[in-house]
Amino acid sequence: MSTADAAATGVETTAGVRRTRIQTVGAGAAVLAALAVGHVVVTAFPVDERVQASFVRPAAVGEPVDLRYARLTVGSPRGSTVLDTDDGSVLTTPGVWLTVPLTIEASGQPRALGFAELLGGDGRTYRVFTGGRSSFLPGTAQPGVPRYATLRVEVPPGALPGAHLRIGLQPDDQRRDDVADIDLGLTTADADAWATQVTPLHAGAWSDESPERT
Amino acid sequence: MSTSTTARTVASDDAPGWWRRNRWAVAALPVALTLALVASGDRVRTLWWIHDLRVPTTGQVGETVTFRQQVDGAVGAEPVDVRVRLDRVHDAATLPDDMVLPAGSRAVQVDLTLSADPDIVLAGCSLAVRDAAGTRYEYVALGWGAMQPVAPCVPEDAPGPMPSLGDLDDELADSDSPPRPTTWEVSPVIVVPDGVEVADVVLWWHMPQYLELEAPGRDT
Repeated sequence: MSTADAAATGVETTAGVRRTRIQTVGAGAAVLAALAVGHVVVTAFPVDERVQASFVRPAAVGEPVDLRYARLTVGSPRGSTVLDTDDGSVLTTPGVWLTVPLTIEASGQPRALGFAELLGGDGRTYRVFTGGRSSFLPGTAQPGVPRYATLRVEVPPGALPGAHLRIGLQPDDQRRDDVADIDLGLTTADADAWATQVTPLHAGAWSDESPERT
Repeated sequence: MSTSTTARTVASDDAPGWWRRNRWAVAALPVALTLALVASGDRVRTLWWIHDLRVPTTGQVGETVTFRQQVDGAVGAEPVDVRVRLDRVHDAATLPDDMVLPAGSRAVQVDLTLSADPDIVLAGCSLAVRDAAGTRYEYVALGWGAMQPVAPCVPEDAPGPMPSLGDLDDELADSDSPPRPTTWEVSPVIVVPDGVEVADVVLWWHMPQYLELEAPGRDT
């Protein structure tokens, strides 16, 4: 090898090492950039919330709403400070007892609706469980056989104007499933009247007999 | 061509290409993607797939069908091994005691003949009828004022062994209950809406497996 050849090879080796380092650094930078972009996509946009969000089906009082698992019709809400639970108990409240009649027509298979909450006009959420003072326990409805149930919830009068009632299937998980959102159409006048009402409301157990027939 | 150009060309030809240098990673990529999908898909199975009737064992009209399944119990798997024949589906001539049908509904009686070893645990069964659209109407033991047998697939007075609870079995054993016969008949009643035509009867112990029996006379 001549002196000129050795010099040229030495130049190429040095250049090759430099290029390899540049490529390595570039690949590392590309990986970091990809991770950064992924982080931005995951955190900067509400992807998870949108993917997991319930399918909210709005309706008004008396208007049937078709859900994946049932057709639901909410009747006219009533209010008082006294509630007759039809099991020997009479419950009073310094707030308002709100009762809402519901008609559930299951579809596909028997359904036991287990989720209810009141989105108060005061911005608070009042959860209604299947037991306790505020309760919604409609049992399992056979498809094609209407189930009549009454939801009861104890709230401060200020929660009533503009309140919405939400009804769903699973007690603890409404992700990616239908949820009925019923505008109860309540006003401040309703709240004021019911906050001084002492005539007991009746909220008995569920039935497959229409209340109009009993 | 200069000497330096020749040296660069030789070095370039000898260096392995990108595909060759990363061939193992490229080969592993589809495997990794498949594993990732399978791993995430496991939640589809555990959270959704197994919670409904998915895996049928079917029987034609008048056919005696053998149904076998391993059901997880409190102290391990217990076998279900039973032979079932659907004899008839018809409007119930007499309602169970105290049953009051809601408006717009009727009572359908399902006549079944079953055979099984008396030691097999069968008490945890569920029964339903379905229409042609697949809508499922289930047997309700306590409903519409009536008290029917809790398990619709075994004799009420001789249901056979209960699922094992380990050391409590001896304490809970009902010595007065006679052994279940090897062959018996049951006739549970199911409430369905008026106008529903029963297409098949389904019987199951633990989802997703189930027994699907075609209802006689639906084509006539």
